[in-house]
Amino acid sequence: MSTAFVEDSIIAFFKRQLHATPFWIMLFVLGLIGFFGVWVPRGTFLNASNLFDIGGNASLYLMLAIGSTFILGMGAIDLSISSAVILSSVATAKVMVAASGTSEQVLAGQYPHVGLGVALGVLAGLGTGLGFGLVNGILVARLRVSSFVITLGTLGIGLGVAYIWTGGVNVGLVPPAFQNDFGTLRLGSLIPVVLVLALAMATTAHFVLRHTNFGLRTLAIGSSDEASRRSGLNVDRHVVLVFGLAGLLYGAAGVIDIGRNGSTSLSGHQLDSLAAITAVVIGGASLFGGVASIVGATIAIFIPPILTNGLVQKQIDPFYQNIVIGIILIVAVWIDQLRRQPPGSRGRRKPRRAIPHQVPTLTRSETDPLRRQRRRG
Amino acid sequence: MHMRTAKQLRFTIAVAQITDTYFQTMICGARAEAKKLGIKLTSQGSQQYDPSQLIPIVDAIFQTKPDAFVLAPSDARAFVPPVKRFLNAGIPVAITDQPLINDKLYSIRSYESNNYLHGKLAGAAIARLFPDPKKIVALGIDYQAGIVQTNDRIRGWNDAIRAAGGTALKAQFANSDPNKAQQVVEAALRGNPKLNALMFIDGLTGDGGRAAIKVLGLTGKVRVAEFMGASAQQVRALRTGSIDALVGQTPYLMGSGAVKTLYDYVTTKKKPPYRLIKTGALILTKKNFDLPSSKPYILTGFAGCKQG
Repeated sequence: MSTAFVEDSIIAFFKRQLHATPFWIMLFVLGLIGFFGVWVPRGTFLNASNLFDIGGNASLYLMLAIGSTFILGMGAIDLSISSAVILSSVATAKVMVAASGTSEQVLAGQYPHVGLGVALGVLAGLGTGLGFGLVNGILVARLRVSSFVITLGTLGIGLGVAYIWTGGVNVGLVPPAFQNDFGTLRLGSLIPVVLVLALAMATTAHFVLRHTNFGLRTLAIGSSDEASRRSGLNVDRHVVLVFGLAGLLYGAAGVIDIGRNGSTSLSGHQLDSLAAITAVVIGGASLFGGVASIVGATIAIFIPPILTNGLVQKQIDPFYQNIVIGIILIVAVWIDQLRRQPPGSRGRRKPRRAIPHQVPTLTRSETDPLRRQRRRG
Repeated sequence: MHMRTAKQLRFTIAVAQITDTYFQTMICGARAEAKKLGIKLTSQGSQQYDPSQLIPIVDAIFQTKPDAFVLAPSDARAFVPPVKRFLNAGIPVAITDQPLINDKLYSIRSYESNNYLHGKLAGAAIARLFPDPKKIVALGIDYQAGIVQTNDRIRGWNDAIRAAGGTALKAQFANSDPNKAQQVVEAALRGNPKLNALMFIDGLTGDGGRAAIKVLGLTGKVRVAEFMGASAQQVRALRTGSIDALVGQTPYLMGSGAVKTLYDYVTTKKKPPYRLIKTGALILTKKNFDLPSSKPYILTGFAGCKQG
């Protein structure tokens, strides 16, 4: 291999990045960090301890965004995320408490079988998330009702089940070891374990989406459900699998929630679905399927916690954060859309046939969804 | 005049829900006390009552290393690790509204709003209005499942009604949404003509509930108790007789007390013995509302203190 070839491919790599949404989002996030680093006095923003705080706080949402990337890439949407997380966290806490000792022992703060309890609790949380996702998937595939409607329905159903199961009272008394030795543990008293876990999941998910048939099929279905069916793909089965995978990730987030908080938060997580979908879309995914990026979503999920942290440190009213994130969402998607237009059409008004909701599909090749998928690094 | 220290002290207060007049009033109390003592106080809070929203805020506050920290947590357990970090960094913490698990290890002073007892006071006040308390059929409209504070208010209310010999129905939830509250209360009143006493956990719930009572022409026939907060219309409703008993709590005193305690500790370096203070409440009525002695129990929200 000649040096010139290597240099060429490096240049090609960077040239490719200029056309990739994640690259621009990355620049934006770095810019945001730099901005707060300068703006916040006494250097309390730009230091490892604070940046890892932000990372720890983003971990749970990162898992949700990974799940949503697959769902959106498949051209579906999942509005039931908060219920999946809450139900999984309830399952985790209930099973963990029940398996750790008798109710008298637990009340006295003793957990004789804490190892078993934690293991079963984690399995229960993951299993509940998986089950929740599979139910979503089966309903979407079998009833042929849009995922928007199905998951709107299961959003309510899941929360109702969680309330009935708990009698409306938060489940506490989770073994403190689970909180101290896992949920809030920091490697070298700096790096949150949950962040490492979430980033490992993101790396795996990126590989699955980009380099496996599973990922290819997911985006193919998102491009054209019909074309995928005609080419012999078992679309129904794949839809169930993708919802199941996303559910498993929401289940993991439910487990993390117990690890961080030490109790369920039945009243929390209400805006989780929207937070995840926002990040996935800012990260370069199309709401109409076929285009999605784990890398983009992973970077974008850090925007809200960075803003919260920076604005709090700068002592600015937290209410402004909503406005800033809303503006970023619209501007990011707008710019992304402009960039994706073919060079020739830039600066010219498009022909009238381009009604707004079709714009994201303009640059796609309608005939070969798989080729397009490869093109988007 | 207090002594002018070389460096102005910086305190921070963070509350469980900054959109709630209850917590806003707490911040007002803290601000007033800070102003008096020459402390620079900053206030923060999450928009929803949700620990996963408040924890990142508390983490960010920790990085600014204030001289002392006041926290009104949204969960007794979730905030133990974040608060421990303050302690390890030598920053004293006072807890308001609800104590943390093993509070005394982390905080130098805690304040707890005794919601159960205050709910009981409301129930007893309403029961006194009935010549024959056995005829009371009461319903509490709660916020949401899993919120200990409001659930306790309803529990206290139900217990007081039952203690007086009346019947307490299973509570309903309305998420502090006036529209939802109106629907729920209308349905309850239509479905149960004997229902004659209602308790709303806050003013927004009350706004909807009172509207339902009015629509059905039952104003004056159904007795109403409410916790004060989250509504601008409560005071007028109390004066015009659509509310019979308004529970006034004391977040203002929690805020000011926490700041004072922390100031004393920081300036004298003498650690006070840990104390958990259960704050009281007053049943506000048309008669006592304007008395000067009622003033500490009236929630003003940010309208009662300058923002900044």
